Amino acid sequence: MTLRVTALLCAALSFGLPAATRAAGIPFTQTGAKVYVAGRQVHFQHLGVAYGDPVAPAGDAGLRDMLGLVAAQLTWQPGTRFAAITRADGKLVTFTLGSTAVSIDGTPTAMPFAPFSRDSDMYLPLIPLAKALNLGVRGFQGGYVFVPQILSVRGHAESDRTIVQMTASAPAEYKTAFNQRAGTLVMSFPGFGTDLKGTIALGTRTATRAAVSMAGPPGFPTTTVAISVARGERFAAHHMAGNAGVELIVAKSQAALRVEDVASSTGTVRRTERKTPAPASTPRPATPPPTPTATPAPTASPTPTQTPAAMPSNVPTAQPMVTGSASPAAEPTDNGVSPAPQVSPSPGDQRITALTVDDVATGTRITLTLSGPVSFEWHRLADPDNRYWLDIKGAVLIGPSQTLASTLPFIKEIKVSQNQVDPEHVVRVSITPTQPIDVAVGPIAQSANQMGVEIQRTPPGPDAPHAGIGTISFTPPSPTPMVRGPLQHDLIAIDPGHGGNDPGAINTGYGLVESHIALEVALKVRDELRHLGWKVIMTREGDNEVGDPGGADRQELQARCDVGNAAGARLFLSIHVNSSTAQYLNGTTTYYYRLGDKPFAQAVQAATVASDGIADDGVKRQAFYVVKNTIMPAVLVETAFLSNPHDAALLAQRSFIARLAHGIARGVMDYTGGPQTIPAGTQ
Amino acid sequence: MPACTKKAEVTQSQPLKITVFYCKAGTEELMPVDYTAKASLDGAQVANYATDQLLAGPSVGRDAVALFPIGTQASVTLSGGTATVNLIGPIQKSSSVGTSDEVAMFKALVYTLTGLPNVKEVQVLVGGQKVAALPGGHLELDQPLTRETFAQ
Repeated sequence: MTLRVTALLCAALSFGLPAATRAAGIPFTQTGAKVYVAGRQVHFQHLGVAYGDPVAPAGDAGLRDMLGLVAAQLTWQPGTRFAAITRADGKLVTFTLGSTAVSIDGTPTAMPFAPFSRDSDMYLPLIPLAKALNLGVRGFQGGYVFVPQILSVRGHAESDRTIVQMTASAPAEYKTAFNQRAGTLVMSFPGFGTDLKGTIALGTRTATRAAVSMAGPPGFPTTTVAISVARGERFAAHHMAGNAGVELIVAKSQAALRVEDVASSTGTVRRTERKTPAPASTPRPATPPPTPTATPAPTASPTPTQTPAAMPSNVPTAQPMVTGSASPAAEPTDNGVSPAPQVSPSPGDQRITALTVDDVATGTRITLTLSGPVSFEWHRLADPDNRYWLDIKGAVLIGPSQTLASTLPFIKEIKVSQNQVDPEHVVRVSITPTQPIDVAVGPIAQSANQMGVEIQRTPPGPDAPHAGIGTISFTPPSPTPMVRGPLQHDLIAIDPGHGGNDPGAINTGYGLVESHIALEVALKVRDELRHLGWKVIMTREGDNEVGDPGGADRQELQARCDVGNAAGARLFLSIHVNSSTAQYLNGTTTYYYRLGDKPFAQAVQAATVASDGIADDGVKRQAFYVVKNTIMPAVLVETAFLSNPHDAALLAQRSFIARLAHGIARGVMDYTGGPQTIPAGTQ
Repeated sequence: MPACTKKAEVTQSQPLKITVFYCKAGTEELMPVDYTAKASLDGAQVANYATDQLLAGPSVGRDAVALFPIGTQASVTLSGGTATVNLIGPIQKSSSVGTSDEVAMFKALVYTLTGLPNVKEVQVLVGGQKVAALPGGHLELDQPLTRETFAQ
């Protein structure tokens, strides 16, 4: 985001705050009500009541404490219209000033009244907030209680083991006990409520069903999940990714109790620790001493009240007894390489056959070699956690999980591993930084089957998204097979945008036509580069179409790509002139698509704005057809806005056209080092 | 996630609050405007309702605009997580739209549709056909567009 656009946005905000004026009419009263979250009292400085419901300011330390108790993070700055909360499970919840819709993971949900502005703070309604965080809400005389919930219990079978996942709306402390007579493994979650009732069929052979019950006071209930398991099975439990629940592994063999890639999210790998269940009233020690053992567990003292099942006096085969703790730091970490998961690709899965990590101009790039197109999803936790993970769906990692190193000082760890095995294969790239990071994901230049995950040197902006999805496709659909000539190190393809029956943008007042200006600039760039020793191939040298004039647009744009591809050009440079309905937009922008082309775009942008003297609108990444479907480094320069009176007046000057062309040619030289320089990575 | 299942049950029988994203004039920023879709509408009808509101432009003036050429019509179908939008009308003819407005216009469409429950991506058709780009356009439309397309 450029400074200019940010300034515009701020200007728009300063008058675009109807809620601030409406707030005067909000029936707000301060209240001394008490708020309890997950069994602990939270102290607010400015808790209030509006329309009968509790509200609290985003800037209140109490609100941050409340969110912290359920491992959620608030992002809010005074003066902004949005408050964003990252839940324990990584999903994003956003409130907008004046809007009665709270967005939960992108889905809007109605609430009774909108967040409002008061004393330069943004007041959020607490009950919709709690519901968005999947917390149970209870009112009592004198206050409110928000109770974390066990949200689901589900089982699935893998080849050599069964996984039972219990998702929760906050990091769950849990206790595990084995009821020998009933053949159940009893997991209890003090402080957690649930809407689940009765018996849930788990649908697996070794873990058949789970009986869910809730007991204790409504403000601090305990949910108990009793899982029926087959005889002779072993267990291990650990926190799930993002601390959003607990996963129980049931298997015959010790080896099958492996936990893959949990380190990426919790730093936890639990295998065979065993512990006598602590009384529920006693705070759990931060670091339970793990006692590796091969012998049956000693007598466990019965747990008072919390667990309805009778405690066994010994545990025969089911030996690993596990405890959970909310603090990842308190848990042992497996720093070694995880065992290679025995995953074979399903039909339709893509294989990841190679992994490399390199330093590039913009930061550190992880390169994954893929067998075909994939879709992905990424998440970034809010500061100070900042962990980032990218899930590549329908993908199988060939070989073991890998821990990669970066030379960036703020990267602690990069891991690539087979994260999910069932029902869909997912390969996860997880990055643990010490500060917020900006990560770009996309295909890499000159490699038909490589995907790049690039950790940027520069941190993300304050409004940068915390989650996203995307796809990587390697075979651009084309009616004609792509022709690729042998690479010519001193050849550049120049593409003047539009032409013929497509004039592009027009400014009638100045008599400016995009296709004419683009050609004029392009011919001058051609001449300068020839003078510098380059060979130049043009997609057009007159006011004409490049493809069949009667053909489809696909053919026209692909024809331009084909000119560069077939000739084996080292670079592809498309020259355009921008236009907008907003007359005040101005300046030069250079677009690229593949991550590897960003330095090319930056070089052209820097040299052009240095020469043309107009506003620097920066480099931008966009899926424009000609920069995506050419096989060499490619950029599209939007030289100026012919819709802007200032830029238009300049574009009408021959000297300005010459300066533009000179700048673009300079950028090509800066990026390449000249026509005789052999690009790295080629013979 | 099981939590999603629960959420869907809650919203189904109630009017659905939807957010249509217009373009903030002169920027690639979006301006969200909320509408309420009637409870009787199914998923595809809600998607068409949202797209109609987008193409019609904001009812309140301010500095929001719909950048689609006036007279553009759309029909939306849903399949899996994909909303397929068929655009017809003036947009089928060669346009003189610049890259900035072109990006902003599709960003608004994609944000509007992917804000609806379960819609993850948008496949644009022009005149019933998959196209490389708009006539005279730049942005590749062969592939489904997602919010990530516009994340830069």
